[in-house]
Amino acid sequence: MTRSQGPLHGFLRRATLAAVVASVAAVPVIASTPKFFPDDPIVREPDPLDASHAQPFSIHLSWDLISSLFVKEGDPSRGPAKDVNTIDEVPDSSWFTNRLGTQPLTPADVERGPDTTSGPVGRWTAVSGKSEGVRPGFTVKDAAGVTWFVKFDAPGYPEQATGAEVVSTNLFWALGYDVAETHIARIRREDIGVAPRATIIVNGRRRPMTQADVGRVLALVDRSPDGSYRALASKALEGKPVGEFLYYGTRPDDPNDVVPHENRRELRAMRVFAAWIDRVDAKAGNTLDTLVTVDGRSSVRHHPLDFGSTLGSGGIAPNEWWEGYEYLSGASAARKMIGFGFPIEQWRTIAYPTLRGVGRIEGDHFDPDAWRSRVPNAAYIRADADDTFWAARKLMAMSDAMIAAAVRSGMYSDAAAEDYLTRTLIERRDIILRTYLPAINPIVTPSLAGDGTLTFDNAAVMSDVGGAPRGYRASWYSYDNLTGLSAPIGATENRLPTMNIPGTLPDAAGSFVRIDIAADSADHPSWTVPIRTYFRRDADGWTLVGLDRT
Amino acid sequence: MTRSGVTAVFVAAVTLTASAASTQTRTEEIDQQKDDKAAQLQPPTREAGDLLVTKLEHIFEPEPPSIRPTFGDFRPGAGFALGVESVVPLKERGTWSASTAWSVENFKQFESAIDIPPFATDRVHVRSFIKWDDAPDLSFFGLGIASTRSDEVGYGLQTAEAGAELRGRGPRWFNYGAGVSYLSASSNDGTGSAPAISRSAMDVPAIGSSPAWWHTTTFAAIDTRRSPGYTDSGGLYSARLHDYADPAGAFGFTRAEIDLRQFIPIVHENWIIALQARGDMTAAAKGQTIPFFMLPSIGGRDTLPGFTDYRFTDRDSLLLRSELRWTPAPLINMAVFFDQGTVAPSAGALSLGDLKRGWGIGARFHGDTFTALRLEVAHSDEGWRYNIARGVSF
Repeated sequence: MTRSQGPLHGFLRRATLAAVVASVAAVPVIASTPKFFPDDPIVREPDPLDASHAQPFSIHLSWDLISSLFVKEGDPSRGPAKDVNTIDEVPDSSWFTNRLGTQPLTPADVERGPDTTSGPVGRWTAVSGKSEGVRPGFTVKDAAGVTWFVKFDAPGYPEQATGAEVVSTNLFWALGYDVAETHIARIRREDIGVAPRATIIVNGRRRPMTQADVGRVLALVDRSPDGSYRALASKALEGKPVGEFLYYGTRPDDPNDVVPHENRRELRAMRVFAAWIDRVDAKAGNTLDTLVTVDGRSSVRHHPLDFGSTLGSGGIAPNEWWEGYEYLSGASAARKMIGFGFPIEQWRTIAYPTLRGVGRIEGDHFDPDAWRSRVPNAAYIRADADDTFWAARKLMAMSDAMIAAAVRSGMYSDAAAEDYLTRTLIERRDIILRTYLPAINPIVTPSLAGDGTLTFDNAAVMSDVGGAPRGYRASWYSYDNLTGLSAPIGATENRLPTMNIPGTLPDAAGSFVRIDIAADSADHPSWTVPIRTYFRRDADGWTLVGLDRT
Repeated sequence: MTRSGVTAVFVAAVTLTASAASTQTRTEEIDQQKDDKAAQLQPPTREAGDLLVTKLEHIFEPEPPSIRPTFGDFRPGAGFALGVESVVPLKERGTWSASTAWSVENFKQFESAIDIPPFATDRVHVRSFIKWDDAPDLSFFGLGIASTRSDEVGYGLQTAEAGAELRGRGPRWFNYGAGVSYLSASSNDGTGSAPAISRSAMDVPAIGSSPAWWHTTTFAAIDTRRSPGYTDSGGLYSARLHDYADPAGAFGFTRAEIDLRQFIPIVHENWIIALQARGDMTAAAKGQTIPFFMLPSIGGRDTLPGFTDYRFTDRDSLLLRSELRWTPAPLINMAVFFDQGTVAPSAGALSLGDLKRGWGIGARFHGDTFTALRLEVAHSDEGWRYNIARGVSF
């Protein structure tokens, strides 16, 4: 082909090129993934793929600690949580089940927690034992043949670790996590037998367990004045254990584990819940994955475990003074090294009550933002304002009565201890609400009625942790779900959280509107940043399908 | 744009369109992600650091029967040491252990012990042992608090001991114990650079001797510390009595050790005042002599850090130590310390007017129940010294 082919050829060539370019330019339109799918917002993750090939995995305790302190694990980009649905909520999954604020829970439900039984029954038969380590204990079968993991309080600290474990387990269950069934139990030495093939680890070596070993383990734990032992009995979780989960990355052998754990909202937001109950020990060793089979399909379920180091208990003694306030590496070690101990941190001046069963926990100096787990946690440190707001909303739904009920499950013998823990948890919850609900635009539960009336709530005002704003503003748009383009419809304002449509909304099924809602508050400038809500016109009215908070 | 370029763009556009059209619902989109992952499943793998830590644990804390490296358990002056220890379980709860170690200063040791299963609900432990220790380069400066550094002479000491001991744990914080053993010792001129002790003009008791004793000991202690390896509160109040009976009737003596320690936390352990008062008193059996190498001495990392090891020796010693510790981080203690001590030929002659003094500053890296590393710089009127050690100062 040469130039001599003339101007027509040049025109055709340019026309062809233009057509191609135009078609390419059109590709984003044609190929655009719609912002909202018909099944948005999903409330439950799709059925899992078969994960029966998942294998046991564990991380060495020391490496978990070292890497948490010195290695920046996880996704270096600090983006929003990746497992939320289009209305910024966490769908039910193998990680999380929406209960509090979603299901109609009662205080009795919270007191019961995940329990499906009333605890171990009758005589216990030890099938294995642990006479070493931080908390000695047994694995037993009760008279009904149910397997229980049994731990005890440390000498001198009756009711502390056992009570904390049951109370915190039940609170975490209510918050939505899959935790183990736990009970406070009482047992006497003579009511613990040893199974014929029972084993125990002694001097680092597993050997057959004898009746004398029962006494040796019990000699290391707190004994009640009547000679009995108060025990924490945890029911074996359903399924086959396949090790721990890390707070970063994904399991390479689980096809359903597609969101890096550090980007899972329920793990990021766990930072707020952990701060609330002072769960300082955020290591992988306090988690368990189990392989469960439902409807013939195996999937991995993820469980936080071991809540003995909560409520100011360190498991074998009260927390160290610094726990909850500093990482293990220290906050300003170099400065204090040369400062002969100055400056003195505020937490060193806190006085704690001396109550049977209560560790070092209080509410007066609690600052959830300043709270620290023992070592940095890859998910916790990525918790952003959306995550903490979501957590605070969960706690909004945790009533005083529910907290009291959960503390009751700890079966504290001292009424003053029960009362103190209840008051402290209420106080800490309120501080969390004050800290996180007003921090960003707190508009929640937007709803668009068929007649075009927009209503919503203000979580901060509802919780009495933020004054009512001077008013609310809404900007209304028609929204093209394919292109993402918005066309203004109008704007409305009202002093109250309700507004009427400024004009005419599209009424065709499948059409979308976008409404940006902001609050005018001198006390909270962040409230002026609107949340974006999206509604889809369905046969029976407008459905909230999208919510972008920040 | 070339023809091939146009074609490529067109193909890409069609492909993208097809891809976008492949998921019509959120469920499909998530399922697609899962399918993509399912196509590349792998078994879990552990990070290199994880494997390394696990390996180190297997090396240093292996499951018995095992052989593991150790750092020895030498007296001051040995320098850095390495060794190995083997532990073999015996029956259900007993162990047999054997260890040997060697230091850069050519100190050597060997020990073997049998720990029988604890009884009385694990409150009583009994072990039998044999051990041999060769310290070829120790210092001696003469007797008395007035000795001078220029008097330093060197000697070597070999000891061998076989016996049994019992340790019991009573109610709450009360500990007790007793032991009996046969101990032999042999001193020589040593291998160090200091003048040999045999050439010293000093009057050194039992120089060049090779005595042996039946050694019986008993102790009682109230120990409210967090642990012997590290504490930030509590105290230790202990008394230990020794009787060294020489069958030959030449070198028999008794020794009493009183060790009082108190740890006072201030402002939630922001500071810890640590105090120690220790007295060691010996008394020779009638007509007999206490060998110089069995006399109490002070000086060095665990007594008077500002002075060289074994700087002052006599029949009785008094040590008064104080530290102001502060905690810049949960696993780090800093400390300024002030230590005083004296020795004398009798308890009555121990005079506070004769106290030798030193001071210093140090950093300690510790866990809940152990002190992994101690770095100290100390000063006395005999100059500066530094200490690198494991374990608590007191």
